[in-house]
Amino acid sequence: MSRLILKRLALTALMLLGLAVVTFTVANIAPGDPARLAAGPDATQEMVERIRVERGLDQPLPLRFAYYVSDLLTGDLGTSVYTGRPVAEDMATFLPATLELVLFAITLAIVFGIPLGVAAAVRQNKASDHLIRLIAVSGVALPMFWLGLMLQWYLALELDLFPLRGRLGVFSDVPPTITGMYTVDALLAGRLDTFAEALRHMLLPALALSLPALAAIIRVNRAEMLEVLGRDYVVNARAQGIGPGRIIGAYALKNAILPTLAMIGLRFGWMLGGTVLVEGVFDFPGIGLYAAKAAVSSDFEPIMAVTLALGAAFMLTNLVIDLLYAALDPRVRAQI
Amino acid sequence: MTDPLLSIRGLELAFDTFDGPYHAIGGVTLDLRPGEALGLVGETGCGKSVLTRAAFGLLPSPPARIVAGSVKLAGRELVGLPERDLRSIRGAEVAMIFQDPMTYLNPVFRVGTQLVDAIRAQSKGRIRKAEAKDIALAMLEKVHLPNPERQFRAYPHELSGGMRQRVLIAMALAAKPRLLIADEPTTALDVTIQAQILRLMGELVEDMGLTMIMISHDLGVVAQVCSRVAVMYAGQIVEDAPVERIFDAPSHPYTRGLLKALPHPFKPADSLASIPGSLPDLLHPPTGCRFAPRCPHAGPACVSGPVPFADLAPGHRAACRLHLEGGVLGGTGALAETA
Repeated sequence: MSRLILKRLALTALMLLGLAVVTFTVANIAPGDPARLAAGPDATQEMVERIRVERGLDQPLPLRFAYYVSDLLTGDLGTSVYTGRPVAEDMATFLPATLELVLFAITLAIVFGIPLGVAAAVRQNKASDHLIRLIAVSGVALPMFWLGLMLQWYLALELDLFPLRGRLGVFSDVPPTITGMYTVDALLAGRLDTFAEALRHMLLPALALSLPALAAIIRVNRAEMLEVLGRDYVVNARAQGIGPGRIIGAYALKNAILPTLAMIGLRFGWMLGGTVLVEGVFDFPGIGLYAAKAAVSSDFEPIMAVTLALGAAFMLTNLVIDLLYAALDPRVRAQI
Repeated sequence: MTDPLLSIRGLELAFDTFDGPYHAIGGVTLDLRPGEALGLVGETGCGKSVLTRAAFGLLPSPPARIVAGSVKLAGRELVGLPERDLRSIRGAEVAMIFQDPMTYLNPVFRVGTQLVDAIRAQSKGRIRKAEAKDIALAMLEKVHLPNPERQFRAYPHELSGGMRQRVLIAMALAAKPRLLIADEPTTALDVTIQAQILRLMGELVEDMGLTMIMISHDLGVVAQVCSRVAVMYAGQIVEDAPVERIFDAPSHPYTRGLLKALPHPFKPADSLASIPGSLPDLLHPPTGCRFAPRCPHAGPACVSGPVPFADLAPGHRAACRLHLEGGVLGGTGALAETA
């Protein structure tokens, strides 16, 4: 097992290097002169050239890539033209916010998706199955940003049940930073009111983010449960007189959950990408919003950093999913 | 004569399909006395497995539906019994062993977990986990599985086919059931393992005084283990006799066809006979004998209506007009006049 983890971590490092090559190349062949951008609109040609030399932008591309990677390894992600701060500092502020939002959203999708998928399979072709499938279809069909806008308009503006935007109210104190996730930090500081407020702010964007994933999890889990419930080992378990609770909840679900896990990993990656849209709608200050603002102002270093961070998160998720696979399925373990 | 342990009367079962009901079982009547070992034979798709599964509520409903008839286990009616009550009978009183040991064990649970679950379910939760483990280990020993402690902790994929079938036998017999239904228990195994498993089953049946139904399409296997044979065709029993009568005096044309299709060790393989034609469409079953369209002896009486059983000898009956008054032409009645 530990060999598998090491092997996969080494592979993840290689994939990250590959991702760095791609982001670096895209950023450097994209139109726009980074030296001129950094110097500002009123700079003279001389000043632009000086900045070009200062930043090593006159060096050949492969050498600059080597510098870029060595900077990355020392934790230097460059400087954002837009915020004027080191990208690493910006990321430390915005990444926890996004992780908090996405983890909350995927938890919602899993906690509701798996039981609903099981329920739909067990009650196949009955009214409750049709209702659950309706949720699943709408989750696939509704675009995330539109759903976000509708939730915002109805639940926040019309009914005033939830805050409209942001991570906390304007007059609330930010909890002392430990993880950067407001809910976790508030709990650690013992401030339950701040925790509740942060949760209320997260709920609508998390709902918008989670619905497509919820739909996908329901669909996959329902289909897998239906398949597994028809398998021979379920017939044998029934022939032994084992009760429906044990058969559905353990014998069938443990088999059906494996493909569902793969779907969860995939959806988690999509969700990370989806934050660009949803954080925009809810003005939620995470890396999605940060990347969107940087992109508008041709600020390449933050975009490269966000791409790398999202890529790393996606790869890490897949590693976790693979480990869970091995933990749940002895046949997978046997192949390691 | 002792009361039958299992008594099936006129059982009819249909699967509801978009094209209408598929009459998988068409009126089966069968008695099984305690201690008997009955072989249920017939070609693939004739309803052998469906019959035994339907009797104990193992078929998903819908689409399966019992249309008529009764199934009594030791005098207790099972048709119409709620799933809860059927579940307490399955495992505890009626045990089943299935065809393919590769697929009947859950791949993601340890053999021991599955054995303990089954044993506890059979006892309706009265047995504690530790006690169930002791029973499981004793049963693994009883089915001659080497190193029971290790197999108990193993996952199914770590065991061979023969070992898995032994595990399934141990699981089925742990609660000392009264009736064992073995659904082609050796079909998926290779020949040497097949012989070992058959010997083991014979040993256990005798040892535990089990009553058994052995489903098979292999008459050789049945001859080895069973004392009585029922031949099924297209969802009906066509002949039912002590095992030696089936081989010495097969009376239904279908049984004769089956026996002719057995390979003979001293004759070349190309002399194997086959029965021309194919199974009837059970969405629209024939009103008369279901074998009539393929039968070399069929006459007008055969297709005119249901064929009753003819008693040929003690314990030997066949549903064929050849053995009934009037024969295939319909005797002295209306048919003879019109012919």
